[in-house]
Amino acid sequence: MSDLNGRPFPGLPHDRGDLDAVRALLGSPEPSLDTVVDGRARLLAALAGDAADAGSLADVGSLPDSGFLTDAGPFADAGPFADADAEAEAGDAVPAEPREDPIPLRGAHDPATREPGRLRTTGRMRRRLATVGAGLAAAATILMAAVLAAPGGPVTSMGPGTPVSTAQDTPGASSTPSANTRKAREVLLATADAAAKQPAGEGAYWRTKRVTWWQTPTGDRAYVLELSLSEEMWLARRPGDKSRRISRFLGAKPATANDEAAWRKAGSPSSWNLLPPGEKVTDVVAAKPGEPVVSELRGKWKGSGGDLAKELLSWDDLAAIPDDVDGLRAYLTRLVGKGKGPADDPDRARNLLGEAVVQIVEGLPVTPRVRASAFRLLATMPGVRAEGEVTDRLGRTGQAIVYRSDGRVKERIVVDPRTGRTLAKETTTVDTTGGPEVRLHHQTAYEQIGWTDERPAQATGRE
Amino acid sequence: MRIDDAALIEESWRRPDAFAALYDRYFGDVYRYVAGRVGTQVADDLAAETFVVAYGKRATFDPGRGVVRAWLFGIATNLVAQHRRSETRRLEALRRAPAEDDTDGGHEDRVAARLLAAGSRGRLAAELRRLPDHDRDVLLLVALADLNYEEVAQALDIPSGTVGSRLNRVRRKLRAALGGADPAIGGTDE
Repeated sequence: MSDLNGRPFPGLPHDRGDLDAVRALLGSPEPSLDTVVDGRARLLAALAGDAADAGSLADVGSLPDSGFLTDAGPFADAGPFADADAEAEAGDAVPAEPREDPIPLRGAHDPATREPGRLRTTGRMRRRLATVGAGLAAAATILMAAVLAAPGGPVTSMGPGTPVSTAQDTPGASSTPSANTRKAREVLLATADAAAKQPAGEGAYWRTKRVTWWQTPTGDRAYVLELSLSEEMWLARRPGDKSRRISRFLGAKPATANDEAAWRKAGSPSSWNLLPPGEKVTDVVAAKPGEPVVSELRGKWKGSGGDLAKELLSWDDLAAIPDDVDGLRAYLTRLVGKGKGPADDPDRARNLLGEAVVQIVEGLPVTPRVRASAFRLLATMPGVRAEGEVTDRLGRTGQAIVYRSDGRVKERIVVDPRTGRTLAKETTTVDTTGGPEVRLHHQTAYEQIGWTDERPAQATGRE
Repeated sequence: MRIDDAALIEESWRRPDAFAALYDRYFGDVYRYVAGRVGTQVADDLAAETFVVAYGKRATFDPGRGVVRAWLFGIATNLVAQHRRSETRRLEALRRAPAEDDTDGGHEDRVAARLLAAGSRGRLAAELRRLPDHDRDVLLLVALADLNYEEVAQALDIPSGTVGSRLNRVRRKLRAALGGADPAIGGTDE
C-alpha cells in the first residue's frame, strides 16, 4: 500500500508511517460493481451526445472522416443491433430460435451446457471476484463493467439531429405495436397471471442462487474469455440472523470456437492477464474454478432484503412497494428519478425504469402480487419484443423478452409463463474501447429464488 | 502496445469513445482517493462526475505540462472541494468513533487500521480536520493517491516548491498528533 512505485520523492523522509496512518484512517475502498457500471454509463452518455454532434459536423466536412462518424459507425443511427431489430420487427411470426440470435444461447456443442457439473469441479484458486480489497479488484470490476455496460445507463445512439428512420423502439415513435411487441405483451401477461398464483411463502431467509457467465477480452485483446461465477444471497429476515453471500468462481475459458483457436495459437495458457500489457499492475484470472467463499453482509446490507435502483431496501421498504401497476409505476419512476444525471433524457428514464422492473421480477422478496404487477408494467413498456422460445444456460426452456435495445446495449429476460418465474437475464454489449468492436455476451441464470428456513454456511476467513 | 494516455485524449477528438479507455484505466484510482476523502456514498457520484467533467474540459489538458493521471486527480480534488461538508462530517465522525464500523475499507485497510491505536486515530482525524483545505489537498494527494511532488503540483496548479513546503509542514503536524517527536508508528520504533 505504501509502495511509491519507484517514483522520485525528493525531500520526503523515508519513513512513511504518518502517511500510512492517514491512509489507514481514511481507507481507500474499492468501488462496487454498480458504481463502476453506472459511472461508465454516465461517461458513455456524455461521449455519445458528443459523437452525435461531431457526426453532424462531419457531414459538413469540418472534421476528418475517421470512419467512426459515418453512417456505418457504432453511433450511427440505430447502432449495431439495428439489423437484429429490423429483422425482428419485420417478421410476423416469432421464430422459435432467431436466425442470428444476437445473444447466442449455447447449444449442445457447448460442454458447459452439456455438463453443468463440470464447472463445479473442486479447485483451489479463489483469486478474483470473491476477494475484495486486494487492490486489483477494482481493475477486475472495471473490466466487468465493460461487459455489463450500463444497466439503466443511457448508452443510446440517438443523438440530436440523428435520423430516426429505424427507431422503431423509441417510445412514442410509432403508434401500432409490431407483432413481436404484441407477442411480448401476451407472454408477459401470462407470466404475470402465473406469478400472481404463486404462494407468498415465508421463512428465516430470502435465498437467491444464480450463476453468471460473462465475457471479457484478454488484456492484449487477442481473444475473448468467458468467466463464470455462482452466487448465493441469504438475506436474513430477522434482525438477529446474519445475512451472507456465498460466491464461487467457476472458472474461465475461451468464449467461442474462434476464441479457442486463438487461445491455442497463443500456446493454450491456463491463466490470463486482463489488463493491457504495459500496465504497471496485472489482473490475473485462472482457468481453474475456485473454492466457495462465504462472507457476512455488513454495513448497509444489514437488515436489507435486497437492492432496487441502486438502493438497498429494508424489509419495511419492500413491504411498502405498491402492488398495483399504476402505483408501482409511480413508485419506481420516483425511485429511479432520485439519481443524478440528465433527468430530461427520456431514453435514460425509460431504461432505468425497465431495469428496476426487471430487478423486481428477477429476485426481489416481494409479494406475488407485486411481482405480477411488475410483469404487467413491463408489458406496457414501449419497445418490449418477443424473441421466441429459448433455452438458458442451465438447460431450461422459456420465452425471451427484449426490454432494451439501443446503440450499445441489448438486454432481455427469459421468463417461464407457466410458473411466473424469471429464468435468466441476458445482456449483449458492444465494446469498442480497445480498438476493434467486440460484442460481449453476459448471462445470469436464476437457479433458486425463495424463502427458506435453512441456514447459510458459516463465513470463511477471518472476517 | 499500450496507447499513451495523452494519445487517448487526442484520439477522443475524433473518436469520443477513446476517452472511455481512460475511465477503465483510472476509475479505481480516482474512486479510492475520492472515497477516502468524502466516503463511498458521495464518491459513487463524484468519481463518475470526475470523468464526465474531464471529458468536457479535455481541451485544457496540456501534455507538455504533465500526465493525465495527475490532471484527473486535480479535477477530482476540485469536485471534492465542492463537498467540503461531506469531508468535514466524515472526519468528525472518525474523530469521535474511530472507525469501529468501517465497512467501507477493504480487508487490508481494516488490518492496517487495527495497527493504529484508537487514541491516535482520533487525534489524527482531528488534525486532518483542522488542516487548511489546501494543505489537506496536498497531503491526501500524496497519502491516498500516491502522487509525487511534480504530479501534485500539476494537479493543484501550484509550484512544486510549494508542494514540498506544504507537505513538510503538514507532516510535522501529523507526526506530532501521532505521538510527538517519537512517532509510535511506521516501524521506526526507537
